[in-house]
Amino acid sequence: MKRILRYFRARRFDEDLRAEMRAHLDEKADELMAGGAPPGDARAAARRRFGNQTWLQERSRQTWSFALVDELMQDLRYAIRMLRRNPAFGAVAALSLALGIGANSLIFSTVDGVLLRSLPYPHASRLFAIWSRSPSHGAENMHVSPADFYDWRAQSNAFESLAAYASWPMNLTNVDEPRRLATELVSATLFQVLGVRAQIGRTFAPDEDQEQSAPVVVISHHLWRALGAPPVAGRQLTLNGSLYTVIGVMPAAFAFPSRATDAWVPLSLDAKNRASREGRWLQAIGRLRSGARARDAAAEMDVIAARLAAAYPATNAGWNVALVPLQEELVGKTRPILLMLQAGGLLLLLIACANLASLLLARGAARGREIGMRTALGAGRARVLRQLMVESAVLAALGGGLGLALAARAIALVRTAGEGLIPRAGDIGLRAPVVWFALAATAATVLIFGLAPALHVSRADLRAQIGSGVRGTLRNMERKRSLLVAVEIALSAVLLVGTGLLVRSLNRLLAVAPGLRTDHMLTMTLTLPRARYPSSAAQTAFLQQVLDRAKTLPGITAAAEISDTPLEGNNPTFEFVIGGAVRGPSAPPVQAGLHVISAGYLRAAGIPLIRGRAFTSGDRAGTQPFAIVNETMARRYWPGADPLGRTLRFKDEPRWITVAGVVPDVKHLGLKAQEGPVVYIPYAQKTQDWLAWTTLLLRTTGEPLDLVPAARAMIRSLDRNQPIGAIGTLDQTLKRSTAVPRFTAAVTGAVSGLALLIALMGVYGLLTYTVAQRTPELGIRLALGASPARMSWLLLRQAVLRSLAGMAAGLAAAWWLSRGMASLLFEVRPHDPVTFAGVAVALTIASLAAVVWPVRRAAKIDPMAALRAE
Amino acid sequence: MNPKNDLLPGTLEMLILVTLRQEPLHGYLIAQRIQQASEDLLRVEEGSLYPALQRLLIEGWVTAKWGMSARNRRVRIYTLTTAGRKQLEAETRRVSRAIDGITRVMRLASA
Repeated sequence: MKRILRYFRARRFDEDLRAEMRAHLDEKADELMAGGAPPGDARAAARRRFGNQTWLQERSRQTWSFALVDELMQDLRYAIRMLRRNPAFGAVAALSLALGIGANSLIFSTVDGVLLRSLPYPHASRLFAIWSRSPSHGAENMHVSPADFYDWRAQSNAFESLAAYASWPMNLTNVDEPRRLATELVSATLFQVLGVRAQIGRTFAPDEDQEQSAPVVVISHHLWRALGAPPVAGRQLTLNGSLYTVIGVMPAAFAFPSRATDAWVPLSLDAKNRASREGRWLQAIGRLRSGARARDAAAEMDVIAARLAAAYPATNAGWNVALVPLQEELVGKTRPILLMLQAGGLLLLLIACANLASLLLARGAARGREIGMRTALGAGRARVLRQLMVESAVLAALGGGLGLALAARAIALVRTAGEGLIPRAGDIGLRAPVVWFALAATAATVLIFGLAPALHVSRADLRAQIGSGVRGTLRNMERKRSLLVAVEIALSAVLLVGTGLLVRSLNRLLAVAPGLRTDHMLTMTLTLPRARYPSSAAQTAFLQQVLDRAKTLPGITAAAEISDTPLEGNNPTFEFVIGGAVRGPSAPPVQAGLHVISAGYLRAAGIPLIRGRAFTSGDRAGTQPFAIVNETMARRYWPGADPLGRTLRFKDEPRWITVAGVVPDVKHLGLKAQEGPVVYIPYAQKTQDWLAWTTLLLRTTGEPLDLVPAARAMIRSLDRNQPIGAIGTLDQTLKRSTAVPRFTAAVTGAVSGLALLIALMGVYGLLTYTVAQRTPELGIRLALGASPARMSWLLLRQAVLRSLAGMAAGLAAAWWLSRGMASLLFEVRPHDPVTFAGVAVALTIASLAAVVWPVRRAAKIDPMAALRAE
Repeated sequence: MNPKNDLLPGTLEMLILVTLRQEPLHGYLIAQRIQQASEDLLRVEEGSLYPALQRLLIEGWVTAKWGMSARNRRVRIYTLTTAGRKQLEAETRRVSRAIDGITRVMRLASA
């Protein structure tokens, strides 16, 4: 610190010292002149007697130890001057580092926030998701039936406690604008299992989820804010027509099971539902007792499951339990994508570093003469090394700073854009480990790639450097650069193969026909309050009113309803019994998805009939029940036979339903998923009173979202208290279903594009440099009669062979690595020949393009000018 | 190091302290006095005075302030401090002891 202060006084010090020395010389000269010497001689003599003024001044300064700071500042100034004199070098080097470090900081922030950082609950590693599974039914990670859940909770020892929850959207009506809330039905133990407290008020008491408990609700921080942050005590909300008392507000950071969750309501099941093992519709989590091991808990759960299977064979035979760490449950699907992106980012950083190293090597060699001169003039080796290190450090600081700035901007973007795309997107942030990572990456780059050329240069033989006989060193350096450039090409090849596979897989995915017309289709969800529409008949009557009114709105050509928005991944499955003699009485019921649709749905959605007929207004509650099945259902359960006229029934209903038509498969589960068997029934014949929701589909002539106000007003005019849920278009839903693969392909595309650019700059730079260095030699060859064409060919061959060698190595590595990507690919094999061939062709063309310019320059060398320069 | 400076390290500083014992002086006069006193025995580059003066300033053995020379020039005048005086006494004792020792050895050698 003192030294730095002194540094700022150093300027003053210099002036003083100079004045003092000048006074000394003048005094001396005066005296000599007084002794009779002529003025000129007197001055010269005085100076001779004094010694080397500059050197002495320097010594005086060193005494004050300004020197270290001083020299560093000098190095810094010099480095900045060198960068400004050669801005292209500085820009390329700093930018490639910035991109490498920026991309890595961004990806690492995401990995850290999503994968590494533990969930925001105390002792989060003791939290597990608990699933039912039945390999014999082909069911992995299935939800849990209420009775099973309560038995698990009663019998498990390894778990401190268990909690169950289920998404149960509810309508909030005693507010100005009725809205649909993302509500969770939860066992009273949920908050205790997670280990979180309310920010205001309290969470549920242990007995608050009994059937006769008073209705209470805990609300999220964002809902509380949306309500105007009212005092909580005594506040009541009307949810699905019943009054609930607000007992607590959770902290803003609490987001379970998702950030969108608005409120938590006790899972108060009646005795019948509580004892049900039929419907598996609850999700369960548990907290291990401290000290208990996951393996022991799994073994214990297996024992409990076996006991239940023996006691209730009809529902539980073949079913056991799967434990998944909660963190893995939340982020498991994202892990391979993030790890792949991280690998890509590291490759990009490697390429950027190799490029910087190559640039520094070239510059080191170009400055050999300068450095030789400085050494000859007495600069110590350490001093020269330090000078070069400072230059690298300036570059790295520029690159690292710029990279961090880029990453900070990008992280803000990912946080907002990633909501719903990346789990825990809100946990992503530029945090200390990320900054450390960037610093470490920067420092490593400087040390390894800044020091290596520095050592190389400063070790070089002085005479060789100052004299013109520098060819040997240059050759050596060129070999090293050749290797670096080949490595850059190889790494880019790996990245390009990865991107190619993802892009091809995305194309395949986008080419998948969704099975219905998605254009010009406005969608909005409605959940009818059971209090107001208790029966299927009442619900259907209201829904029919909505349809009738919607059809009269201008700009709407068709209106229809379906119980779950297509393409969104919702496909509730039911158990059916297939009629007919094909299956014996003991045959297990079959699982099939159920969609309840309005009569005009198939036509409005553009789903063609393969066989039979669509539903009509004649299919009513009292008439014979009909169903339409999809192709998969027809093929699987009536193979080789005509499904029309066949029968099936819900497992818990005696009424037989006749198949009236067959339609192609529709991608209800999203484009990637294989569609299973599906049964459509008309709303008019629906018997499940609880299935009280629908998605209204409106086919529009213009932009669908323009009709939102009209549709809203129409529904309000029918029922002032009926809220409207998610509003969107079917095109948006389709786009959302491919968001993750598009995001992945875009990011890898950007990363590998940058990598390729940097690598090509390496190829171009090296050849340009080679040509510049070999100009005299090439001039001699030309003078001796070599044809320019032949010479270009020689240069071209050398450069292209180098790229090809790198490419071959890269493709081999990619062949070996791409197997790890299999889980991310859709209908494309990791060893996809088209991708590999495409990358080979593209890289060859790109490398050729990068060398054309320097080769042409070589062909245009004027032999006379080249020789004169030598 | 300056190849023309054939003084033992630290000697120049000692000479400066000795010179300043009687009165405060500016740089040129210090050089003059040293040369006169040593009868040109110690041929010192006058300029090497200044790095040495910096060292003394850092040690706090002398202070400097701007003043006027006899020829009416703005010069820095150096004054011995109490610490410098103590240092000089200590150095003098040390040097004379060393010289005593050397003298004895030389006497032995010549005997």
